[in-house]
Parts: sequence; C-alpha cells; structure tokens
Amino acid sequence: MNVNLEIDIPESFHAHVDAAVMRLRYLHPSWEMSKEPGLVKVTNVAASDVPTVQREVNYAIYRERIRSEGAPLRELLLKSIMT
Amino acid sequence: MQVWPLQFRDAGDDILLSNDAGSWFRASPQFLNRYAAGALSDDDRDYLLKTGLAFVDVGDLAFTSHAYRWSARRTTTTKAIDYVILVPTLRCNLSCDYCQVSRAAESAKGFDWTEETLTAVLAYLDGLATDRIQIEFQGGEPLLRLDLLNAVRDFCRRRFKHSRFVVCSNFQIVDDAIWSFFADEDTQLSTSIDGDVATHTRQRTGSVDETRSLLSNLETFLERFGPGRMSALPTIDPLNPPDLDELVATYARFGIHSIYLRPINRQGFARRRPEAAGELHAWNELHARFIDLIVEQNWRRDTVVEEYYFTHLLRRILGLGANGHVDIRNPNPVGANYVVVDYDGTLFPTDEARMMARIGQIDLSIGNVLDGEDRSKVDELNSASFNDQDPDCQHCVYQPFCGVDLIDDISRYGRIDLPRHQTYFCRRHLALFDKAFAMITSTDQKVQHSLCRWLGVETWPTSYSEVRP
Amino acid sequence: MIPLVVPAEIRGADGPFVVRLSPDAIDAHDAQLRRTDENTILVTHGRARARLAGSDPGQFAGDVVLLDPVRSIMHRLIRAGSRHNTFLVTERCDQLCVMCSQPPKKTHFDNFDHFEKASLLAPADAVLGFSGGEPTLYKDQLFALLGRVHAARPDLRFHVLTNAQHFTEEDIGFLGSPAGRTVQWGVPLYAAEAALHDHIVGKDGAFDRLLGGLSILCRSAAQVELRTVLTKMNSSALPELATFITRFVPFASPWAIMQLERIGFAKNRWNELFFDNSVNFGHLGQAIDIARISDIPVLLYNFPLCTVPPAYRALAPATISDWKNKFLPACDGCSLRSSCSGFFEWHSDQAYSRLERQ
Repeated sequence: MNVNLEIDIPESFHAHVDAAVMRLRYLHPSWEMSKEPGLVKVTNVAASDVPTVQREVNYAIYRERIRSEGAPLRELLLKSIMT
Repeated sequence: MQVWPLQFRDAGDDILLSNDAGSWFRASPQFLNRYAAGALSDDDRDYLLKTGLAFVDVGDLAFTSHAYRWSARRTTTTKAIDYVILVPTLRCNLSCDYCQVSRAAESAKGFDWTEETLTAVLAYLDGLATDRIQIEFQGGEPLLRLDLLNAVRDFCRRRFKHSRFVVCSNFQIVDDAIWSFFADEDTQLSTSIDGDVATHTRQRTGSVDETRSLLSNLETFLERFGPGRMSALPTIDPLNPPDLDELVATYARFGIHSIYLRPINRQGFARRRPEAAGELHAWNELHARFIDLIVEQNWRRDTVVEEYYFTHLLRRILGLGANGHVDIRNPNPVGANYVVVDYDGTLFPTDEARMMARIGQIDLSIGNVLDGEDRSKVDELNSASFNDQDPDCQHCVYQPFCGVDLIDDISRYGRIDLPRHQTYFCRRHLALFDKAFAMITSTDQKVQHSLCRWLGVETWPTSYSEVRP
Repeated sequence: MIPLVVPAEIRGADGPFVVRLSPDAIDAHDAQLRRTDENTILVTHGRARARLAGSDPGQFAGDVVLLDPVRSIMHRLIRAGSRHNTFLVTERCDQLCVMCSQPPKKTHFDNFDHFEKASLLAPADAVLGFSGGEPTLYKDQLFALLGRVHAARPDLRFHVLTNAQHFTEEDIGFLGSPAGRTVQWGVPLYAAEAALHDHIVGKDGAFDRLLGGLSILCRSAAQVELRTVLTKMNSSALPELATFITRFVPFASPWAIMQLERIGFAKNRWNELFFDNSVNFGHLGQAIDIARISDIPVLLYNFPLCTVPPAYRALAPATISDWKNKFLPACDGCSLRSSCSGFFEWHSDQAYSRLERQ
C-alpha cells in the first residue's frame, strides 16, 4: 500500500528546505520528491516506510538549519585558533 | 549563550548528539526537536552551559577549552619519517587466496632488490632526519632474502640510536639462520593466523600439514623467545569465516590477546574477485558478533581479549590523543609518517598505493631510492585529506572521531568524492561507531567490565549512560 | 626533619646577602665553607664571617644561602642535594583556604632581589619553586624576575603556585614567551561549581575569576598543574569535578589530587577536613577513571601507597618534600617503601585507619 506524503514545514525552517531537499535527492535517489512553500511532498512511499521518510526529511532540514546557523560560530572558532 | 553546533544520529529510542570538539551526549527526540527549532528550555540551557557545550563570552574558558579540544583532535604529529616498510622481494613460497601484495613465484627472476637497490636503500635510510627507526620487512616472503634483512639491520643498528625491526612472514620455513636472526630483542615477527586450521588452510597454505607446520614453528618461537615478540593478524572472509571461538583460542595459545580483525581486502590480486554482494554487511555483522563474544569471554575468564582496532576507536571517541593510527585520522595526509620501498626501489606513501601501481590502477609513487623523493602527486591528494568540510561528514555525529582514507577510496572506486555513505570506509565505520557508542552508554555490567579492561580503568563513568530528557 | 633555617652568628656584614657555599670558593659568589673545630662550621665571604653549630660542613656544600646578620640566621634558599626548593614570595594572600598550610599575614617582606641572586647561582637544570601566600599579588616583579633569570640561565625551570585570580590578557605576552614557557603553574581547583569552591577558598567570586585565569593560561599554551586537595568537603563531588576538568580544563597536565597536610589551618580542623582514603576510595577512584579515560594525566600527591588500591598505585609517586617526610614503625620491611611518599613529618596516628605493610 503506497501513500503520498505531505510534510508540513514550520515557518522558522522554510529557509533551509531547498538545501535539505537537494541533499535528500542524492541520499535517496529513488524518492520522488517535490516541494511547495511550507510543504515537502514525497510520493509513492510504502506505508511501512512513512515514519522513516518523515524523520529523514525532518532531519535533513534540521541539519541544514543547524549548519547554516552554526557557520558564524565555526568561523569564529577557526579565526581564534589561527591567530 | 551560544551553543556549539551539534550533529545528531538516531541511537535506539534516543538521539546521540556531538559537536566538532567531540563532546557527546544522549538525549530524547524531544530535546532534538527543541534544539532544532531554537526552543531550548531553561533546563536545556543550564545543562549545555554546565557541560561546556555552550559558551557565554568569546575567550571564556568554555570557548577556549572547546577550541583546545577541537585542535587536539586534529593534530597530526608531523615528525621526520621514522617508520619505513621495505619490500626486498616479491617472491613468495605461498600463494594465498586473497594476496594483496601481488606476489611472484618463488623461482621467478627479477623480483628482488639488486645490489644497486640495496646500496640505494641504505643511502636513503642514512639520509633520514630521525635518530630512531622502525623497519618493517614485507614482501612476498622477506625471509627468502635473509641476507638483505641482515644487511639492513646491521646498517640501522650502527646508524640509528634506537632501532626496531618487524618481519612480516608466513613463517612456514625456518632454519638455524632464521632462528638466529630472531634471537635479538629488537626484532619481532608479525605473521598471519587466519583463525582456525581449516580456514587458514583453505585461504593460505592449501595443505593441513603445512598449516600445522606453521603453528608448530610458532610454538617453537614462543618457547624460545617468549610472548611479546610475536604478533599475528587474522584475515577473514565474512562470507566464509572461521569459527570465532576457535580463533580466540588459537591466538591465546600464542599469548596473543589483542587481535586486529582484518576483513579480506579485495585489492591486489584479490581484485580479480570483485567485492561480493552483501560482503560488507556480513563483515559488520561478524565484527559485532566477535565483540559480543569477547565481552562474554572476558566476563567469565581472567584473561582479557580485545579487538585492537575497536579499542583504538574507543580511545578516539573518549580521549584527545589518539590521532596517530594511519588508517583513521583527521586529517590523514598520505605519506606523512612512513614510506614504503618496493622491490625495485620505488617509493610509495603506503602499501596499498604500492599494490595499486602494480596492478596498473594508479601510480602514486613518490620517487625512488636512487633519485630521492618527489611528493608532488601526494601533495595535491592531501589537500582533500580531512573530513571537516565534506558535505556528508559535516552532518555526521561521528565526524570528530572519524577520518578519511583516500587510498582506500581510490583503490575501490577510482575517485575520492563519492557520497560518503556509498563508500566502504564510511559504512564500515558507521557500524563500528554505532557499536562503540551502544557499549559506551550501556549499563550492562559485562560490557562495562570489558570496556574498563580495554581502557585500563577500574570503574566505568555513570554519566555516560545518562539521557537528557 | 631537615632544617631550612639555621642559627648563625654573623660578623663583618651590614645586611643580608646571598652566596653559594663551597669548600673551595673559586667564584666571586661562592663563600668558603669549612669546619673550624669539633662543633663549629665557618663560612667566609670577603670580610663576612658566619659561625654555625655542627660538625659536618658537607651537609651544606653547594647550597645557595641567605646570610642575615640582623636575624642571625642562615636561610638555605636552595639546597644542592634536593629537588624541592621553594622561594616564599609573600605571606599575603587574597584567599583564605580552609586547609591553608601557610596562613596569610598582612605584612610583606620584599625578597625578590635575594631570590633573583639565588636563582642565578642555582645548580644546573634546577627546578625552582615560587609560592606564598599568593605570588601573583606581586605579578610584575615576579614576571620580571623570571624573565631576567631565564635570559641568564635558560637551563632553569620554575614551578609557581598561584590561585590564578590576577591574570589578564596583557599577561599572555609573558606567559607565552620562552621565559614564561619554563614555568609550570600550580593552580588549585576544589570543585566543579562556584558555591563549593568559593566556600573552600574563603572568597566569593573566586571560581569565576579562576576560570578566567585558566582560559588565559590555556591561550598562552602555559603548562598547568591543576591541584585539588582532598577533604571531606569535596570528596564526594570529585567525580563531578573530574567530568568538569575533561570538558573545561583538558590542558591540565597533570591533575594532581593531594592528600591533606596537617599544618596551618588544617591542624585545628583536622577531624572535620581529613578524608580517609584508606577505607573509602570509591569517589576518588571514579574521578581518576573519568579523567584518565579522557587522556587527562592524573597524579596522587602525598598518599602513602598502602592507602591506595593496587590498581591506582602507579599514580602515587614519592612526593612529600624530603625535608618534611618520615616513615612509621609499621613501614619497616615494606616492599614499597622506596617508591612511597611516606608521611608528613607532623603526621599523627589520628589519620588513616588502615595502614598495611605490603
């Protein structure tokens, strides 16, 4: 039984969806993904895979946000170590 | 308050989190949701501040300590080359199934050092900056040219303040000259024992008598020189493994309790048989089984058995100083700490690189003993030798503890930029780190008993098994 | 107990002066040392003459001493045969530790000139200690002395005890300099949180200032010997302190956990402070293991070996200064005696419950 997933993305994460979806596309090339504002869609997902897919989509978006927001700190760290 | 960015991964019902300096902790999925959404509770913030995962002011102790630990994990000691692998001959008296060194037949001609090569090798060693040297003789079968081994050893003992010699030999054939060679304290034997007699015979000798003859030679070695001068490694085909209990018992016979399990490596001649489907999965499963087996045994017995590489990974996770093993380091520059001298005097940065040149895959030679070193090829390669900016590694919870192995990637895939999770190196290490953290955070007393013995402590920290709500 | 200060009858000198004692005084800074009669030792330097009681001048040979005609003493600043030589920079201190072995005084005697002179005369490769009170109350003078001595005697190394309350960013220059790098800074830390640490050192805000000082030391790549005296007040919190050190002071080398000395304030508070590790090593063992797993080197100072479980004994070198240590009758025939700290000179029986010849 296959379903079409629609995953709601809270507004504070919107800026990171594009990067996350790009990455998910090479991590899971067989997923059929598309996006609309505030939404990530994955079609044709086996019912048993739904929790995994939802989690992976969320994680990918989390990771992009953490990476992006953490960039200034990482830069600060490198600067302080190199001087 | 600023929180150092966290990487995360599912760990059972919880989440394992870490930052770039290698601070790690387990937390609930709710914690992860709060963190990612920028909605940390006051308790969360207190915890992160108290444990050095966050700082208040740039340059405060939390900030400085994070920077210190970040640096300590990435420090490679660039010291003068003091470890040289010498291949005086490619000829071998055996024809092992998985031989990755591209051997030549025992009677073949043209696969040994010439007089000229020997002279050039000694001149090369003479030119090294170090005052201590470790020489590892490999081959083929180095003992087929005991004369060359003696020449090198005599030279090194005169030339260097401290010398150590390791001979990687199948030890099938011994005579008085060979016993006499090993009589000295500065010389060690490294050999292969592939688990049990049946497996060893199938993979290496082809004859049970030959295998028994090897084991008998090793027993004599032990009687003459005691434990501690012989080390051995098992090479294991996960699709056709030896009995693991018997493997441990065989090694115990020779006083060896630190066992470095090596998967059959389909480089070299073994490349003729491509990596079998499911082989890595089988390997990961076998390795985990081995760890469970020795944990059980260590609980029941007085002796303690460890898997050498697994213990090394534990040290990399829990401490700061374990950045010296050339199979897993970040950065992992090629050719920085040791060099290989081939049967014809060509220099290579690693043994795998030597083999890859021999099978015509890629030439990563860095000069030869006559003309000297030329590192231009490896310098370019080395600009990719660390994992901090890799698009996949940068999101991985194990990144501060992991490393890269450029040569392995090239040897298997011909390129170094595949998505990490598609590489053997990554998938093998994900399994290892998953297992390591499952054990580190376990409250099982048998597991903790082994961990304590492997790391040389008496008690296991209770904080390791805590889970942040 | 080896005397550091010896009564001396001194003539021919107006004020205190520093010399090195030698049977054949060749150098201008050497004073000649010999026996004049059965019970008198004579030291001569220029016009100055000092008489000491004693029959063996050899016990002082090579020592660098301060001869003080006003107080009529010879102060052995550097004993040639010892690895434990410490200059008392000041008795003033800005903390009041509950177990202080050198209770603070308000007065200060400036002996920097003597210490500098003595350092220049020290034996080759000596390690010289600076303590107090709090030496960095005179930070500028101290740094200046260390800089000048290092320039003249690059072979010497120093060990400075300090509460790290007074370091600033401007000190990074000296701390990271070649002279600064010859110093090992012995810095006490008693707990992982401010309330307990401040309580033990008797000063509010000490913990926060200490963390700032440690950060400056780390940024200077200074050598830091972190020191924790074991008492009943902090014994059960040692594991938390160990975890704290792995995260916040990973550069500690070593972390020295120290048994209590029964002098100074600890004398009157002995029963409330002394923690008997011979019958309870639990928290201490856990703390050591937490630190060791994270590659923090741990040492146990001033612990008799039989009070430490065998698995941890390698961490307990013989550390009680030779001028203040002794052994008990129970130690006769003990196989570990030569590598053991022994006991403090002022040790009494009201301490360890379990002492066993090994």
